[in-house]
Amino acid sequence: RAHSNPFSDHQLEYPLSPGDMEWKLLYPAFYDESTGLMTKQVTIADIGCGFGGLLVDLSPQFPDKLILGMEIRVQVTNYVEDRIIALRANNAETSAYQNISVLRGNAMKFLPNFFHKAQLEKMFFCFPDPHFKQRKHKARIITNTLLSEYAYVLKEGGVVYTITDVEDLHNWMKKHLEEHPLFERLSSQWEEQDACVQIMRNATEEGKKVARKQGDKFIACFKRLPTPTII
Amino acid sequence: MIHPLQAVLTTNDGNLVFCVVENNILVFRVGHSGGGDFTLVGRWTDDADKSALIKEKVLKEHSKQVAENNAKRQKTGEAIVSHVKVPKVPQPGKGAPAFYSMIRGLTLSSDELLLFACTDSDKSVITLGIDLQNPTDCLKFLKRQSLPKRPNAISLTSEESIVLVADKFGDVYRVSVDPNVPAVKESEIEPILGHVSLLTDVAYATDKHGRKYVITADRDEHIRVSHYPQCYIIDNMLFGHKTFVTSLCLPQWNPRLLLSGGGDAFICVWDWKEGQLLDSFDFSSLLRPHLNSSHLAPEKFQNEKGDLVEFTVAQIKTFRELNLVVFSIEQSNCIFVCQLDGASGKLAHLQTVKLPSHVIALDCSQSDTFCVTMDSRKSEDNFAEFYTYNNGLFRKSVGKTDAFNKCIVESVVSQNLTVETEEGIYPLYQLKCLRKRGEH
Repeated sequence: RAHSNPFSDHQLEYPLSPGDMEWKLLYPAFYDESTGLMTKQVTIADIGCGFGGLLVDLSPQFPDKLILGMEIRVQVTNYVEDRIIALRANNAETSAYQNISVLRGNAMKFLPNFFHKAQLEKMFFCFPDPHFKQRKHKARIITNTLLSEYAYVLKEGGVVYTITDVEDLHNWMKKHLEEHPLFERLSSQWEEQDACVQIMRNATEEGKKVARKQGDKFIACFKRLPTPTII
Repeated sequence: MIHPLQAVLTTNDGNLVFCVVENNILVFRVGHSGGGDFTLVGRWTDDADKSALIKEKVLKEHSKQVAENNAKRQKTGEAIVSHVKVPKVPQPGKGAPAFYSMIRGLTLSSDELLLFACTDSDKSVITLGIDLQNPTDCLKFLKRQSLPKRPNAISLTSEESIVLVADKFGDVYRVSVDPNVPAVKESEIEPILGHVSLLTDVAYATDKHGRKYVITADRDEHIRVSHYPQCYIIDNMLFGHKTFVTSLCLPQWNPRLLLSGGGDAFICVWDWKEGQLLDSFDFSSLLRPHLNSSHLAPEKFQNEKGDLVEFTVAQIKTFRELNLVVFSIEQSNCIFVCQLDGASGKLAHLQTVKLPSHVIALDCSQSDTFCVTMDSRKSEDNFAEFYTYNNGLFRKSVGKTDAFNKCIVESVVSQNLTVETEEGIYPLYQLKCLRKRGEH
C-alpha cells in the first residue's frame, strides 16, 4: 500500500511513556548488560522513513549517534527491518549499522510516547505524503499544531529537515515552519555545507526516483529556537 | 414518555438548576417560600436549522462548479451555459442515521450572569444571558460563535469573556463569549493548539507562580500540559492512562492536583506541573457489584468465556472546599465518593451512593450538595436526585429531590417536551464508543 490513514485506529505498539521503551531490542550493541542501561539515546529521527535509504546513508555519517526510522506502513517497516538485519550481518566484523533501527508507528500521534522532552537533535521529513485535497490538510505531517509537538521533542538548536518534489507541499511546510514561533529557517549557505542535506538529497528511494524523472527537489531546514520567556 | 435530563448544572447557591432536554435548556428556580418548591423560569431551544446549512454548502459547491466549468469552456471556446439547474438539497432517506442537535458542555461564567453551551447542530458556542428579573423567561440568547468542527468540551479562563473549546477534530480554540464582541467568521478562527486525536476534555490551570496552562485530554491516552497563551510551548505530557481519557478535574481548593479518568479501571491523581502521578486509584472491586450486561464487551471483541467487561468513567467532580471527589461510571447505577488527601494526592473510598437507575449527569457546583440526573426511561418519576454532605456522609435530600422531580414532570409536559417512543430519546451513553478497536 502506498498510503496509510494517520487518523485510523491501527493496532500499534508503543510504550506507555518514553521511560518504558525497550531500546535494547532495537540497538543491542548499545545496551550495557552490566548496568542494564542503554549507553546512548536516540537523537536522530527519520519520520516516515519509507524504505530506509536515508537511515543507511546516515549511519556511517554519525557512527556514535542512534538513528531511528518511523514508518506507519507494516510491510515497508518489515522490509527496512530485514534490510538492517542483513546490513548488520554482512558488516559483523566492523559492527557497522548497529546505530540504525526502525519501528512501526504513527509519529503524528505517539511521538511523545517514544521521546523525552528535548531528546532529539535532528528530525527528517523526506518526501511526505502530499495530501493534496484541502480537507485532508490536517493529515499532513507538518501542521502548525503538530509543529509544537516536534518542538517539544527537539532540543534547542535541533534541526528539522524537509524535502519534497511537490512545490505546493514545500510552500506549505515552509509557511507553517516559518510562522511557528519555535522555528527559524536556516540559510541556503547553511544547507550547502550541511552533510545531512547532501545525503537527504541523494539517499532516499523517493529522491532517486525524482532524480531519474529529472524532477525538482525542494529543501527547507529549520532550527529549533530557544523557548522564549514564559509570560 | 418524559425525556431524561442529559446534562445538569447548578449555581453555587443551588437556587438555579439548568438542565438539558433534547435540544432545550430548561432553568428551574428554588421557590422563595423556603418550602423547597421548584418553578420553571427559563427555556432556550437550539433551533438552528441544519438543512439551511446544508443548502448553503450545496449552493456554494454548485456555484464553484459552474464557475469552473465556464472557465474551462472559455478556454476551449465553447459557449457559456447561462441556465444551470439549481440542485436540490439532499434529504436523508429512510434508515439514515438520526440527526441529534445535542447541547453539551454547559458552563456558567464566574459571576453566574452568563451561561455557555456547545451545540452539535451547527458546531457553535452559545452565550445566553441570565436575567431573573424577566418574569417570562430568564434566558436570553446573546451570541452564537460557530466553529469549524464539533465542540466537545469547554473551559473558562482567567481572562474575562474568554473560553477554551476543545473539538472532535483535536483542536482547541480560544473563543470570545462576550456578547458585545461580534462573532468571528468560522473560516478565520485558528486553533491555539491541537492533537491528532479526538479531544475529550480541556481544563485551564494556574501554577503557584501565576503562570497559566491549558490541559487537554484525548482518545489516545494522552494528557498534555501546554502554556497559555503561548500554547505552542508544550510543558509536559502526563503518562499513565492505558486507554482513552474522558474527564479532567482540578479541585478548586488545591489546583496543584489534577484528576483524570476514562476507559481504565482507575482514577489518576497528578501533580500536573511536576508531571508526577501521585495516585492511581483502582475502583474495579468497588464497581464489580454494580456491573450489568451493558458493560460486557461487544460480541466481536468478547473473550472465549464471554465475561470481558468494559466500563468508562463518565464524570469526575470536586467541590469548592470539601476534600471530596465524586465520580460516575457510564451505564451504572452508583456514584463513588472518595476522600482526597491534599498533601499526598491519595484517594480513599468513602461511600458508594446507590441510585435507582443509570447515572447520566453529575454536578457539584454547590458547596456541600451534588445533583445527579438518571436514565428515567424505566422509572418515570426519578429524573434527578440531590445528595447533601452531612456528618461525614452524603445523604439524599428527600424533600428537594421529590419537589424537583414533581416540577420536571409538570414542566416537561406543559412545555410539550415529551417523546412518543424510545427512538425519540437522544443518545445518552456515547463515551464507550471512544474505545479503540485497532484493525491492522
